[in-house]
Amino acid sequence: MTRTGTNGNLKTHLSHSELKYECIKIKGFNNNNNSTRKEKNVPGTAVASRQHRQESFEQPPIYVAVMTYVGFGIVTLFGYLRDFLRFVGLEKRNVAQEREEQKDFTPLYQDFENFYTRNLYMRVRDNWNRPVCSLPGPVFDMMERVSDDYNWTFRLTGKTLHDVINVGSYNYLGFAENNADFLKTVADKTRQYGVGVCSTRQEIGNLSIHEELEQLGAEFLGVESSMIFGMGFATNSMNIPALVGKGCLILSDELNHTSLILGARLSGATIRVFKHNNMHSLEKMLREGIVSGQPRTHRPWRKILIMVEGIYSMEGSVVRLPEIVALKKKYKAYLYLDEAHSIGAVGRSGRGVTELFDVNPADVDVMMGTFTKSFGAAGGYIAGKKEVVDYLRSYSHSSVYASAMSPPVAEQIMRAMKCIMGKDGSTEGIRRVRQLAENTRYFRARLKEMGFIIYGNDDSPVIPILLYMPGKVVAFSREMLARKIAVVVVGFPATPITEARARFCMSAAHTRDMLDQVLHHLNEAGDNLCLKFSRRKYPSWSDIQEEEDFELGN
Amino acid sequence: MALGDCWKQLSWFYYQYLLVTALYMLEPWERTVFNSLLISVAGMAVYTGYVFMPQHIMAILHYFEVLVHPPVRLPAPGLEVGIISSHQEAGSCADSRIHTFLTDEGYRRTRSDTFASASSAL
Repeated sequence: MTRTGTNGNLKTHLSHSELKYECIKIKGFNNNNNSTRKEKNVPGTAVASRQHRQESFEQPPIYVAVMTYVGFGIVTLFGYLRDFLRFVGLEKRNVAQEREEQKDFTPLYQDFENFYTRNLYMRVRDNWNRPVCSLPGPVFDMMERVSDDYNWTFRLTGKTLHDVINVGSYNYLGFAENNADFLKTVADKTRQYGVGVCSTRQEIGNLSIHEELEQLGAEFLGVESSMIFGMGFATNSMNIPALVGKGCLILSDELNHTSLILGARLSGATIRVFKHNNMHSLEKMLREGIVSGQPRTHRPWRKILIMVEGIYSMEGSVVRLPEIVALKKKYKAYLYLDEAHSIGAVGRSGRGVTELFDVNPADVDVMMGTFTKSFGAAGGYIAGKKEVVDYLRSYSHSSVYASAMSPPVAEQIMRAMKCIMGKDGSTEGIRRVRQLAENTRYFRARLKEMGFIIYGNDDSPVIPILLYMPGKVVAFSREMLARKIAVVVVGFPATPITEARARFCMSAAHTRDMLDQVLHHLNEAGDNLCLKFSRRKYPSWSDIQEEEDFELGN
Repeated sequence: MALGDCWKQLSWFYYQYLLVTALYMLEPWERTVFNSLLISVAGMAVYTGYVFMPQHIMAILHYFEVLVHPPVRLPAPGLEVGIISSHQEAGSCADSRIHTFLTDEGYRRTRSDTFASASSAL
C-alpha cells in the first residue's frame, strides 16, 4: 500500500489503519486531516496550523567549497612547517612529551595523530571553552581571558563581560533560571533528601522521588512506564547493550550522536548505516537484512532495531517519524527514538516529535530522551512498555553500576514537567512552549531573508548557519563576542570538513528585543565577513505575518 | 578624505583575503612568509608575461594566418631569442613556418632570404 514519490518520500495511503494519513506532500509533511486531531485553528497555535514542514540543505556557490579546501590546505602546509621547526629544535614544543630517560622506549604519545589538534585547533581555541561565571540563561556573564602565546596558555584578566546574550545553550524552555519562587520546591527537597545519593539504583539508592519522577515521566510521554538515569550520554551508551546483542541488526542514521554509536558498538550487534533521513535507503537495508539474514550463516536476525533521533542537533533536521513507523510495522522491526533535543521543544504542548507528527507513542518501542536540554537539569530517561522498562531495571549497566540521580535535580525535572503539563495550576508551561515556537519561526524567517544559508526543518529550535571557511568561522566567533553575543561554532571533526557552522539554539526566555539585537549584529557581521551565501529569495517577515493573520482569521 | 576611504576599502579587502585563505588563523610571521611567497611568484609570472607574451601572441596570430607576414620586430632588445620550427617540403612554400629572429647585429631575415639560403643548402 505504499508508493514512492519522486524524491524518495513515501506516499502512504492507509485507509483502514489507525494512522489514517491522507497524503504526504513531496516537499514536506502534511500531517493533519486526521480524524483524531482535536484542534484546527485555536488562537495562538499558529505553529500547529502550518501545513508544510520543509527541510532545506542548500548548497553554496562552488567557489566557497574551493576556497575552503584552499584554506585548509594552506593551514596544513604551515602545520607541516611548524612541526618541522619543532622537530629540528628551532621552536619550543608545547605538547606532552616523554621524559628524557624514556626516549628510547616505545613511544607513548603519537605525534602525528594530533596533527589537527596541534596545528589547527590550538591556534584558535580561544573560541571554545570560554569561562561562564553566571547562570546560563538568556543572558549571562563571561570572564575575559587573553593569551600571550597564541592560545597555548590563557590567563584571566579579572574583568567580567556582563550581559552577554546567550544563543548557544540548550535552554529551550528557559528552565535554567534562579528565580527563588520557582525553585522553592527544589530547595525543599534538598533539605529533605540532601544532595548525594551514595548508592546505585539497584542497591539502596532508589529514593521515593525517583519513583514519583518515573510515574510523572510516563504520564508526560503517554506511555506505560519509564525509567530515569543520572546521565544522558550514559543512558544511550549503557542501555543499548542491554537491549540488543550479537546476532541483532542495528540500522542507524548517518548523523546519529556519538552516544548512540558508542552504545551500538558496545552491544556487539551488526551495525548498518542508512543515509540521513532517507527512507529509500532505510527500506532497502531492511529488505536486504531480512532477505539475507546474518552475515555468514544466513540465519534470521534476532532483532532489527532502527535507531533515529528526534532532532539532529548539528543539522536541525527532524526525523520522518510517520514514514519510519510505517516501515517498521511493515517489516516488523523495532524503533529506538532518541528525543534528546526534541522533548519539550517541539510539539503543540511540548511532548516531542510524537506529538509533532501525531504518532501514537505506543508505536515507538523505546523512547529515550535527556533532561539536560529542555528541562534545565541533568540525566536521561527511557520509556516504553512496562516489560521493556522492567527488563532494563535489572539488566541495564547504568542502573546496576551508576549512581542514581541526585534529588534536587530530580525535583527540578519534576517541577519543569509539571509546569509544561500545566499541573502546577498556571499557564506558564504552555506559554513557554508557544514562545519557543514563535521565536524559532521568527528567527529562521529573518535569517533566511537576510541571505544566510540555514539547514534544517522550520520547526526545530536548533539553527545552524553555515560558515564553511575556517578563517571565517574563527573571525565570526570573535566578532560576535566583541558585540556581546556568545555563539557556538563547530568545525571539522564534528561536522564534515567543508561545512563548518555556527549553531544557534533558541530559548523561550529570549525576548523579541534580544532576538532583534542578535539579528542586527548578525546582519552586520554577515556583511563584514561576507557570509551571506544564499542564492534563494525568501519572503520577508512582514509578508509572512500578513499571510498568517489571514490564515488565523478565517 | 578620499584617501582615508580608499585605505579603509583596501584594508577591508585585505581582511577578506586573510579570511578566505585562512591566513587569519596564522601568526604574523607566517602571514609574512606566505605573502612574500605569493608576491614573488605573482611577480615572476607578471614579468614572464611582460617579456614573452607579445612574442607568443604574434606567433599565434601568424599560425592562425590572421597575420599574413611573419612577425618582424620583437620588442625585447638585446635578447638572443630563437624559436624556429621550420619544415619545408620540396616545392611547397606554404608549409614552411619560419619565425624570424633577432641576432646580435639586429638585422632580420625575411622569408625570401631564408628560402634562398635553404634552397641553396639543398
